[in-house]
Formats: sequence, C-alpha cells, structure tokens
Amino acid sequence: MLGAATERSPDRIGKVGARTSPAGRPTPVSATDSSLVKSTPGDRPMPGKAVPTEGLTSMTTDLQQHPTGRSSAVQTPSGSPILRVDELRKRYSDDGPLVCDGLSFSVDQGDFVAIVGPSGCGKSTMLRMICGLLEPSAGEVRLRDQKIVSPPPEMALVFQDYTRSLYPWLSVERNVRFPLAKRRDLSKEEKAARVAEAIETVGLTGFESYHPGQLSGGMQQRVAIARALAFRPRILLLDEPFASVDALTKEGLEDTLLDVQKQFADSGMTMLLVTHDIDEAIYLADRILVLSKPPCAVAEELVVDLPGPRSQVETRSLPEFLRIRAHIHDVMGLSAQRGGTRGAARSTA
Amino acid sequence: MTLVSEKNEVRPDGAAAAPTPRRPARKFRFRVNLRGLAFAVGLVLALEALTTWYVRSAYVPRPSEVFAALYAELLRGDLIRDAGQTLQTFSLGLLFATVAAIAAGVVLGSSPRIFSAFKLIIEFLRPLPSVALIPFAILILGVGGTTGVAMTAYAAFWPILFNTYYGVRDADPVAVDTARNFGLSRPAVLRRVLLPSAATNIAAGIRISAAIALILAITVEIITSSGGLGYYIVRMQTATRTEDMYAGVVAVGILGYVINLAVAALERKVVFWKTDVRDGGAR
Repeated sequence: MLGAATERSPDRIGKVGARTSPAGRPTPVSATDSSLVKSTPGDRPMPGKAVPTEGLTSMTTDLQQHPTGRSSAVQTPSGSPILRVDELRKRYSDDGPLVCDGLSFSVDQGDFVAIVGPSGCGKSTMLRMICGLLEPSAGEVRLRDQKIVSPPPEMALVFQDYTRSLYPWLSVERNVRFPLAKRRDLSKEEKAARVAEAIETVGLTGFESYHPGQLSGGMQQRVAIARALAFRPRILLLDEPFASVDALTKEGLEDTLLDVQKQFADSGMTMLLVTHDIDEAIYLADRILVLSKPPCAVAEELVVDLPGPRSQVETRSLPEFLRIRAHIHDVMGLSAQRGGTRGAARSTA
Repeated sequence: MTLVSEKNEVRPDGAAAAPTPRRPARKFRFRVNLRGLAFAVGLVLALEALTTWYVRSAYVPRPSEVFAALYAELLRGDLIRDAGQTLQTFSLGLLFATVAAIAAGVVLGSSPRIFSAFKLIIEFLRPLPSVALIPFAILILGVGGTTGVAMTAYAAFWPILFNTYYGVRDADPVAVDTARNFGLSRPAVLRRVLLPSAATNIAAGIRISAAIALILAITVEIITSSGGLGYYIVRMQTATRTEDMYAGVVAVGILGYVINLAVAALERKVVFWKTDVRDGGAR
C-alpha cells in the first residue's frame, strides 16, 4: 500500500495535489474551478463546508501554471527517490496513543522539502524515525532502497535546541570537527579544510576558538549547521532549526540555508526541513508536505513554484507566496477542525 | 534601504563584527577577601585578649603561643613530615576513589539494569558512616598506611560515584542523539559525550569527597596511631603539650583549606564551560 507521494510517476512529480486518507490510500481529487482561486488570503472559506476540498485542487492546478522557478531539482528525472518513507507508524508504548499514522512520502535528490504541521503533531518523532534514532512501530524508511535501522552516514540532523546539541566543552572549531573525528579515510588536512569551509559557509570565520557559551543563540545555531555541513551529508534534516532564535536572526539563517543549498547543489544535497512556520516553509522549500493533526499523516503535498533567487522582502510579498500561505492555513485549519471528516470525503469521492 | 544593506543588518552576529579570538576565562584570579581577613584577624586578637586576661587554663593556650609552637614545630621538621604523610594518605585515597567511582558511576549511569542490580547494596552502604568500618579495616589490613588509604578511598568513593551516576544518567538526550546521528559508537558516545557531560557533576563530587577524605585520613591516624597529623595531635595531647596539639589542629585546618583551594581551582580549569553558561552566554 503506497501513499500518494510514492505512487506518482516521475514526470508528474510535484504536480499533483492528491490527498492522503488516514489509511494511506490516495484520494483522487477532481480538478474543478472554485471561488478560492479568486479569493484573498483574508477571505477564507468557512470550515465545515465542502468548498476547501475543491479549493485545494484548484490551488494546485493553479500552481501548475507556473512551471518556472527554482524547482528544477524536483523535475530532474533521477530514477528512484533518495528517501522513501513508507507507512510509518509509531506508538511509544503498547497502550499509548498513536503518534504517527501511516506516514508516506518520498524525497528526490536535491529537493528542498519542508514539512509543516501543527505543533505537537509528531513532527520530531517522525524526523527521529527517518534518521534512524528511533525505531518505528510499523512501516519503514528507505534511503536509496536501503532500509534504515541505525543512523546512516549520509544523513545529518540539526536540532532545534542548539544549547543542548552543541558541546559546551568544545570550541566552535572542535564542535564542527566532532563528526569527522573518527573518519580514518580523511587526512588531517582534509578534515581541517572541511571544517574551515563549513565555518565559512555559515559566516563564522574568526570565531573558531570561541566556545558555544560565548556566542549568541543565532551564532550557536550556525555552528550546529556548520557541524552538519562538515559531515557532508546527502540529506540534511532540520528539526525546527530556527524556532529558538529571534525573527531577524531567523531571516539571516534562512538565507544562509538557501546559500548552503546553492553551494552544495552540485553534490545534490537534499534538505528536509520540519517546521511549524508556514512562511518559512514556503520561503525555503520547493515542495511542502502538510501534516494533519496527531496522529500525523500527510494531509497534502504541494509544489512551491516561486521564482529564484528568493529574497526575504520580495519573495514574501509575491501574490503567489500569499496564496500558498492562505492555502496551507486552510489545510491546517481543516485538519484541525474537521479531522474526522476526511474519511467522509473519501467515501464521497 | 536596499535589500542588500538590510540583509547585512540582519546578520550582525555573523562576520560583521571583527572577532577577537579569546579563550574562556580559565585563569585563576586570586582575590584577597579583605573583609574576611580582617574579621579572622580580629577574632584571633579577641581570643588572644580573652585567654590573656580572663581564661587562664593550661588547656587553652593563647593563640600567640599556638602560632609560636606551630612555627617551632615547622622549623623542627616533624610537623612537615607528618603533614606529608597525611597528604599522601589523602591523595592516594582520593585518587583511588576517583578512578573507581568514575568507572563505576559510568557503568551504573549507562545501564538502568546494572543500576537496579546494585541499587539495594548501594542504598545500604551509603548511609553507613565510614568511620564505623575502621575497626573492621584494622582487622583486615592492620594498622599500617594501607588502612588509612583504604578507608579514605572508601569514604571518598560515594559522593563521586553518585555524582558520576547522575551526571551520566541525566546527560542531555539531544547531545547523545547528536553524537549517534553522526555515527558514533556506544563507547565513543560514552567517552566523547557522556563523560564530558558528567564532568561538572564529577568535579562537584570530587570537591565533596576531598573534604570527606581528609576527615577519614585524620580519623584513621588518630585511631591507629600510625603517624601523620592525626597521630601528631594525639601524641601531643597525651604528652599534655597543649600548644603543640593546637598547632597540629591548625596545621590540619591549613591543609584542608589549601586542598579546598586546589580542588576548586582545578574544577574551574577543567569544567570551564560551566561558568561560561552561568555568565549568561547561552541562556
């Protein structure tokens, strides 16, 4: 049984806004016109009516009409996806609540995928399962058709809590070098070069000998990102990386992330960003997965066709940006208030 | 304002500020506590006055007499030799205790199963006053220096053990997950993350244990009459050389004070990041 994301044929990748039912079966949605296309962000349809379901479709069909932009990575025919999440379920204890329920999606190499969902919907649990830190109760995660059972060397995870994930007893330079310490295949010079490059990418050159306790929050999170970059992962997982920094620092870090992706583009670095911040997801990602309220499952998947290079002020004021934003708000509002009716929608389809 | 300049302002914490590399404050700054010193000197002077004019007893010598005796004994070399012996017992005991307790604490802290196996015996032994075991130790090990080291090590073992245990057990799961995410093996996580995480706790344990170790070293010396400052005090007491007895007590006090200073300085040097955090860098 495959989710909507895994069932797509390569040429249609990212173009179909199908909805996944709780059981993981794809629900075809007919492309009909609706009032939502013309509506403004402030003019949201009432929850509980049938309009949003149709609006969803028109939204995504509308997005299709903008095939330009940064999403070229999405359209490259790369054969099988680099990461495939299949019917992931998690219960922390036998009689505990279901945290994740049939989570399925796939990510192609070079994609920047954002996963948004209401807080407490199991995003972090999902990410921990994807990177092999937590064993799923059912389902599996495959990295290039290899089932993940322990943290693979091709993934690096940046945690939200930099104060807890950085090592206060190590300097910035040694924190960044930390993941390379046991790599015997790299010479000392190669390691030093990688560390210097990673530190430079996040703009912390000159701060190598500082300790995390001497840096501001935003700088500490840069160190955490640099550390992940020095590891040279194929997939960079980010768990609410900017949730604990102030708004201005956050914008700076978001741009750093875009720079990083550009810089490592030829190596095809794939980004998977988990966030509760819808704006951040739209600004950064090529593709957005919207999760339902707990137990989490993919409620909707959509392509962000915003022109690049993106900039904080211009991109965020594009009508397209605002439309996507309003749309995700609707979807999340839907899944929060009409959680029980998704089954009904399926039966009528 | 153009977008570019705005972006520059957005990242003031980045490369904008010219960084001046500096290490965290590891220097041990020696500041004389003038107020405390003045009070201590005043107290000694008051005691001097009290013993000169009001309390006239052979058992309560004047501080000046005690310090004179201390000076004479130091010159003679007896007190130095005895202090050296006490310091040796203390150091060996604390060293053995530290090594054993950190090893045991790491094992207990990293496995709840092992801890539950040992829990009962630990809960029984911990509240048992160590001095109660001195007669037993004398029976087994005799009255030589071994008893002193063994008892010192035994008593100093517990605070370090518990601090290490809690330090390892309560290590931040995010820090551990980070290391696991980078593919570190269990032993590597233990050595490179759990142990440094527990370092602040371990240092606190050693500080507590240092005080306890000195108590035990002196006590065993008093009971077994096997040399050292403890035996010096008993010897002078039996010979009713009261000034010299008090000189021995003062010598023990000085030794304890110096040990405490040394341990605190070492702690500041080894777990420097603790004060970094407290100084408001991170939170």
